[in-house]
Amino acid sequence: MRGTYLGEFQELVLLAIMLLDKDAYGASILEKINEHAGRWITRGALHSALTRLEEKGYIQSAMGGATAERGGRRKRLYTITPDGRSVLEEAKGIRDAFWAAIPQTTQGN
Amino acid sequence: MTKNKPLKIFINLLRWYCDPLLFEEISGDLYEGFIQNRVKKGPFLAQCIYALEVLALIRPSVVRPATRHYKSRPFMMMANYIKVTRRSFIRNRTYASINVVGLGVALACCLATYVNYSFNTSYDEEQRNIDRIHRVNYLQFQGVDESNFAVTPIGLGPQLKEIAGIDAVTQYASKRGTVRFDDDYFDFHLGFADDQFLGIFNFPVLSGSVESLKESSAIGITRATAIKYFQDENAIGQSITYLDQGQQKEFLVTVIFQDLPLNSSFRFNGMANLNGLSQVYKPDAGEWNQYLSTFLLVGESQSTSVIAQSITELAAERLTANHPGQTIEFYLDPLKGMAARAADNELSSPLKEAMPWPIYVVPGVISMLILLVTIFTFVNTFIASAAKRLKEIGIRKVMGGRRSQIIAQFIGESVAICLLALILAIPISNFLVEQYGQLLPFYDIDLNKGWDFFLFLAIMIVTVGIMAGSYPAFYISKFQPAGILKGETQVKGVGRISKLLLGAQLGFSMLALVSSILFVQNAHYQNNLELGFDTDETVVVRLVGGAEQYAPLKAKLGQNPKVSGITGAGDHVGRRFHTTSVRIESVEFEAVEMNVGENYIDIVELDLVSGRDFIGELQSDYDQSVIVSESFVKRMGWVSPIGKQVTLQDTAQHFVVGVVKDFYFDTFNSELQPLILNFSAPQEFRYLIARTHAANVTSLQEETKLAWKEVFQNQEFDIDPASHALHEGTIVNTIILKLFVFMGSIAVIMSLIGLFSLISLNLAGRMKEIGIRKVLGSSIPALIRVINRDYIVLLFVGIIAGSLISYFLIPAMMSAMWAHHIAVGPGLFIIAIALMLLVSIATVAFRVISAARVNASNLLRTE
Repeated sequence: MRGTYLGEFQELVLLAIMLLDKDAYGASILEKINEHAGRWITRGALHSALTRLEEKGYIQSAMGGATAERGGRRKRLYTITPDGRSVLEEAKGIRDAFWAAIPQTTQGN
Repeated sequence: MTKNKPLKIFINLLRWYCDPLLFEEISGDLYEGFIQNRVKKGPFLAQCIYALEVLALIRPSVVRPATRHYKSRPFMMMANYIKVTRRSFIRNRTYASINVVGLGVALACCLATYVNYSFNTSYDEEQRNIDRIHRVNYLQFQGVDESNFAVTPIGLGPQLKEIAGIDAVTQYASKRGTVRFDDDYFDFHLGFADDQFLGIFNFPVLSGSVESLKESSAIGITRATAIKYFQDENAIGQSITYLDQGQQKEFLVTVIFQDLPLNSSFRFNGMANLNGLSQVYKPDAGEWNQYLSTFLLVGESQSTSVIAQSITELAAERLTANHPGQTIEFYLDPLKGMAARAADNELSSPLKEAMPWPIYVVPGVISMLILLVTIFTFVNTFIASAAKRLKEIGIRKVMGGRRSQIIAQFIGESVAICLLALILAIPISNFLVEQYGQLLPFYDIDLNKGWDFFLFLAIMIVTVGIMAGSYPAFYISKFQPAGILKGETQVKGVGRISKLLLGAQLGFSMLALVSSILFVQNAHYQNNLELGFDTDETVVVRLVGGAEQYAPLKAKLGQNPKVSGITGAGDHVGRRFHTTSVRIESVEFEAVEMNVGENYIDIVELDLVSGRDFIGELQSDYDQSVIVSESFVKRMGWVSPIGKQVTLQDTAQHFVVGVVKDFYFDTFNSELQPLILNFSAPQEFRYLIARTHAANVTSLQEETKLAWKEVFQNQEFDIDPASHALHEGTIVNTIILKLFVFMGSIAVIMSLIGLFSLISLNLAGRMKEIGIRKVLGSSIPALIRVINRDYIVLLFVGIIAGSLISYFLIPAMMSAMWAHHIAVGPGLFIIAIALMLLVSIATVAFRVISAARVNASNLLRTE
């Protein structure tokens, strides 16, 4: 497998997709990231991230139904794959392990 | 401006660069964002954000991935073709630019002369009924003499209506008088037309009703006239005072006409009803003594000769009463081409005529010659330079170039040169037309009217380009690359074609040169040498009151220091003459008679050959002295004319006191007839002629006008620097002069350039030969002889052939144009041939010498 490394931004995108469950598409992902991480990212950056994640097999996509609010255009809906889920969990595990190892004394600094 | 949707341009931009797989979702996302922003931030900001986002999306992950476009290969090759074309232009920059400029100038000449040609041949084409309108003309025969008239008596008109086949008859009289505005006088063309005129001819009306022109005091004026006199387009209700021949008439403006095209037979500032004519002109003259133009509207498919026959039967007898002893035959002159024919036949018509045909046809022919010469030069140099590109062709073929690509390369290059020339021709022809228009104030030629011809030229020149490119393209591209690269293949046959072209080119330029020189000489001849008089430095005032006006005006003007002499006359060169019957012993004939005052011969610079001028103090001179012209003397066969007795009008006995040299009393086109000067007293004067210096003519005209007003206040005033007819003749001659000098020089320069470039190209291929000859001991003069030998023969053949053609062609052409022109002798041809040979040989020699002087080792070394 071509590297399991997950960038911080890609991790955010994966988390947002997981959170949105069945309703993850470009605009909603951006909104969730803004809501939880408090920052606006550009669409272009999001699309590069989505392309990467799909190449790595962490997410998959399918065209959804057309809606009037999008001027009749279809959405591309993203769902997380088991691989994606496990790589997220792995990342979380690594962080948790680090946090656990950090002694209480240094925590208050 | 801000709508509910994002601006199309940005959606399309996105569609253009975006990966088609991503476009739908991305544009959908953007649209969602746009709708939200429109609610939250307003439509304008939403549009801005949308646009910025589209621009921000231009990044590798979104942009359409590069795919292989097989279609673009020919385009990529095209860039290479253009590169090769550019390089070959740069390598041959001298020849390429010579060809572009040469063809450009030649095309421009063609275009300018065509515009001029079409101006002169499209007279009256704006007339709806042009195919049905005919003018009634008649021929008058007396013995072998035949005169041609384009005016008919006013009484003829009403009678014609009864003739079958004629739908309508109209009559029009063109007069030229003076109008007075605010104490100032202006020249005024007034047309008198009957009620049918505006129904048959169409002259668009800007304002007013044509019906009102039925009133004899009403006048319709053109827009330009209204603006000139009233500073306002809408001059309806204004009044105009028209003066001519001592009569005056008040007109009320009721109609404004659109301005007439300058190539209309009718030239009027104003038009009034025909029934006002007799109020101004010859009130007492009968209906058969007032002449004007009569037009017929002929019914569809009626025979004009039958109608003319009927008119002759109806009216010839009545008209013969005016011309005893003569027979008269009517004919119909179609409006189409009428103005051009009137200029060619010696028709006495008051309507406007086109230029004599040589003025618009001959420059066209010369332009065509120039174009041919430049095309030959171009074809020659192009073929010669293509033959130098054999190696390029060989290598291209080895590298896999197809034959069709090589053909396209050559044809493309020659067409490119032609197109560049075509582009260059536009500003040049624009310049030429402007210059031409400035020479002729009464002329209006417009380059826009030549666009169809430009199209023709464009197609022609591109065809020439294709043909010029085809020869090398098809011939050379056939060669086997191995043969080319081994140096075995040689271009054969090009030499023969280029020699043929060069010979023809020299012949044509010889023709252009000779005709230019001849026409220039002729124009000089007519302008200066043989007029026999000089009125350029005079001011002429027309008188109506005879001595009552002459004496006070002469006294007043005599005080003006600018005036060096004053005379009066009843007739005046270029203005007026009349004929009289002369009887000498048993011989009787018609001679031209001019009544002149004291010193007339001095003031207009006639040349007194023998005898004396009239003497004012001698009463007997008034009664019985005449001065005759040399033609008169010749007609009588007199050896010593002085003292001979002449009977005028069967009664008055006169004696010849002097002889003047012949002069052109009317125009160049009139034959020199026997002429008599008769001494007349101021009572009979119609003209006052004051001589001054050339520099003072204009100011003296103004001062004369003032003097006139001071002496006579409201009386009619008519002034002109010289006679109208001769003045236009002079302008036309000046144009011919400039035109032919220009065209002749271009023709010669073009053919010399052609010669020069061809020899240069030819020599470039023979440099090795020159090197070897030098190494083996040839001297430079010997080299020049050897190389020149080929060209000298060619030069002679081309030049002699050209001279022969022009020797037979041009004198015939000149005889057709003018009654008096210079004699064409062999002298001119000898000079022209010598000149042309000298310049050509010098060109060849110059090129050969510079080639022969190059160090031979440089020519032979190949590394």
